[in-house]
Amino acid sequence: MSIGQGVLRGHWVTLSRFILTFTRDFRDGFAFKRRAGGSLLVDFFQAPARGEERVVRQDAATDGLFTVEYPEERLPVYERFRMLPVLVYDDEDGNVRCTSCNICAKVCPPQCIWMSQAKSPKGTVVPLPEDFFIDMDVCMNCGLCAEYCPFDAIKMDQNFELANYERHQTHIFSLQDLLVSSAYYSKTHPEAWSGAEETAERAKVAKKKDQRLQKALGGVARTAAKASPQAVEA
Amino acid sequence: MGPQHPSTHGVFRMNVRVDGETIVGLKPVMGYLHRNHEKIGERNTFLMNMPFTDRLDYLTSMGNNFGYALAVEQLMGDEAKPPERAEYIRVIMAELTRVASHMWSVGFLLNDLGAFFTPALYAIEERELILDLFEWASGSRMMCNYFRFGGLAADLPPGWIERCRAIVEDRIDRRIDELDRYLSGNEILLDRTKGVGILSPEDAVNYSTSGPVLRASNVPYDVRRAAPYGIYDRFEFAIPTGRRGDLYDRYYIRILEMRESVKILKQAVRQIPEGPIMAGKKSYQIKVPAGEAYGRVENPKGELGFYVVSDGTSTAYRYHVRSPSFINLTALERMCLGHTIADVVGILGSLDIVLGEVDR
Repeated sequence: MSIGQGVLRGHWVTLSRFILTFTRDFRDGFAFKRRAGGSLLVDFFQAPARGEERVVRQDAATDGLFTVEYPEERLPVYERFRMLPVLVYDDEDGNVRCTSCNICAKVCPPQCIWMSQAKSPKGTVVPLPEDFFIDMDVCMNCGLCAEYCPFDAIKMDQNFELANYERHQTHIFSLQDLLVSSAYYSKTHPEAWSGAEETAERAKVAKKKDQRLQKALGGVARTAAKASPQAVEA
Repeated sequence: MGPQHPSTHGVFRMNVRVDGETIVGLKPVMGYLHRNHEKIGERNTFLMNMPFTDRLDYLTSMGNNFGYALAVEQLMGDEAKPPERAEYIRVIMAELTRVASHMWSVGFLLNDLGAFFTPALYAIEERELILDLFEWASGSRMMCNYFRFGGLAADLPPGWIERCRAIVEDRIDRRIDELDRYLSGNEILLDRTKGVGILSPEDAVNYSTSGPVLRASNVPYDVRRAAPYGIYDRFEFAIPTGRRGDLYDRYYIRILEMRESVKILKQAVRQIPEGPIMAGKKSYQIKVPAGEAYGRVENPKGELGFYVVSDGTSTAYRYHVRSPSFINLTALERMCLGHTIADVVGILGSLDIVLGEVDR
């Protein structure tokens, strides 16, 4: 084996990359203010507070070796980035958007969603979930449930830091674990929230759901009203 | 010979018969990762199967989506013909996948040859940028689940095409050049790869290998040319071939293919039209008429085929995957005979297998 030009040329490539990486850090001013982001010397040794991390954007102009020093630095979270499903409830009236129509469970490829529909005291069905379960260990984060939910109720969350000590009970999320407010969703998905499609859908769905809810609960109210005079008579 | 390759971590081993250091027989032992993909595909509705195809070859999930979408669209006929814009986005995604996958495979071939980190990291950098694009458009870096029958799950977000253009037009070319300069003339690499693991054109055809393994053996067969799908017939690109079919050719063919992919990408990014991205309405219950179809694409690792038989119900009656990694493995023994143990590692690396696709 002879070592000649090829190896030397390879070393030149690595050397230039090495230099480029450090000049990039000096040029952009990140060499000393990584981590905490402040200008004091001590900031170099401090970790930034949660939520204060520098977001590193990688684009066509990025050069040198780029390493994102997670968790002190982070990659941007894109709006469509999806991890686990959540159920949205509306802030205005506190109503869960889900009507327990079961389409998400039908379309879920690993079949990790199951739910039970709420019943009125009379025994008729109410378009609300009584309970809603997702086995988060089985979920494969494909997002089909969110895509095909006709009531805009199930959405994909972006929280990916999900380390946990126990996985047998805590990873089967029930309704209470899944609920997030529409304010939270509008914050994580600003584009989709303000998009024409979802705005129109929201209005349509709210109306449709309201009608169905009135119908289901109206029946209860009427029977209750009927029942009370009898009780008085007795 | 136990798991030694980072992608064969306990899921693949080789039963090697040796005479001293020389290989006289080799049997790949697999099945440790078997997940019943094909049987699950017969339980699932057609749409539910889409995210499962991502998990076949997890480095090329966009390409897998493409193949499966083509197979089902064939059955559905004209009503599922994707609109223009969707076709362009599909090609862009598939070619970005090819660059990302080849970057990975070049980097990790060097790892197998004993040079971990620097080459792999340099290659992975470019892959990172491409995965950022995938994440931005589809929501996930690896398990994209982006294609739908008759189109795509979502349109490109605003600003996407500009960044893609910037990366494609003046970045990737330079990086491929750098990788080429860095590795292709390196004497140590030449010494380890030239004349190692030769697969003759006849053998390559007879073992039904495909992709870079076949083309390195000087057989200019590429599904994008042999049976154009999507809108590949509109783009100009060459089918590079190797001359000797050795390990070096299989490495270098990937560098050349990346350049061709960049050529396609440049054309596609310039020509992409505006318009809808879905044919018809989005539905989770797809009407698939009875019949059978074989949809195939040129995936980075070779020809990926999906054979789907429908009996008119909501699920496939029969679903079969022709996966390139699995079929390329059959030629492994042929390539290894007469070489030493150390070469076997490199030869396996040059096949660029992903076990998710081998065992399905």
